[in-house]
Amino acid sequence: MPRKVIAAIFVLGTGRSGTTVLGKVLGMHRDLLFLNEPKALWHSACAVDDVMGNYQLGQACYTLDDEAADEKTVRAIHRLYSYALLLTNSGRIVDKYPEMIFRVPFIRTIFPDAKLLFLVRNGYDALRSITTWSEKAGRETTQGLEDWWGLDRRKWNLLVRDVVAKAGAG
Amino acid sequence: MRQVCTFVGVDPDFVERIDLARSNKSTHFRLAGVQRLALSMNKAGERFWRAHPKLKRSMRDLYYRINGRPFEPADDPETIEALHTFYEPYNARLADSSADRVSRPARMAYAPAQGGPGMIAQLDGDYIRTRPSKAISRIVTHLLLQGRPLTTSMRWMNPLLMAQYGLVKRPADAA
Repeated sequence: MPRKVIAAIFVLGTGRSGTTVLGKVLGMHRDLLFLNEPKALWHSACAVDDVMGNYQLGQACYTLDDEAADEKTVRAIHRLYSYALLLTNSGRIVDKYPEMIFRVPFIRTIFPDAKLLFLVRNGYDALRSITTWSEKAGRETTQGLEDWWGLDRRKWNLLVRDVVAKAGAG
Repeated sequence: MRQVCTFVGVDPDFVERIDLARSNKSTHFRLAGVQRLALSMNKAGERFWRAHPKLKRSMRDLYYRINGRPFEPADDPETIEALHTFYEPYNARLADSSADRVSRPARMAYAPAQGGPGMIAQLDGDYIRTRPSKAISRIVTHLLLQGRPLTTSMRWMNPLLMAQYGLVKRPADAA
């Protein structure tokens, strides 16, 4: 029996701002299911979602607007969320995916009743944390350097192309 | 945290039973050399501190008393004005696009909850002790719903995952 997706909760903000810990704490509630950056799930529903290059190295978009939420995408993501709820016997989803901060119209079209939580952290601390993360967890792979900025700085390049360039133009 | 729960519409009482001690908060220090020494000790003993969070908390509180200095946000009016001006259009756009569904900016202290080496599904001892049933749900989610980066050895799981998603989505595609 499919479960209706009601008032999904999105944890948004710059990465390294405490989004994981907030998602984890909320996920301790008996009715809530915490999905930690369910990029595979979103990529399956929307092919251009994968800015990290986790599943494909083709085209990706950092910003997604309401037009990207076509009927097929909306149905697919509702089905996948519903499946996740059924699988874990949960009532609501907590989706922590910081990049969605650039896709608010997209989320609103898919889930009109969604609740959005936006975290703010001191910018210097967030940047330092990103640098430290990359120093500690970054690694050379056969396909190039992979760190917080993605494989071969894919996430950074897309951020500059989609967000910085558009902000500059606007 | 209670405000966040109220905003998203869940019973806030459950957070009372969770240890939400502040950690890694922004602070200044008195002596730079002592700060560097403390950071290197913290980094070198990361595994040890993770295994003994209470000891780490006590040591850190003691350290803050000795070398800490209250964090003073920038109060130069010119800088603040410049930052407000710079970010105003972006904040306005965000507020406009999210309407009344975005909470007021929530500032969260950074608790030791990051996935560390060997930590699966962001589960640590505290989480498992506090919510054993939810830990199972986390593992199920990690195994059956979350993919693996292309550069990791577990990437062979991705086609299986995508096939599973394909089956779940199929009625939607066929419609």
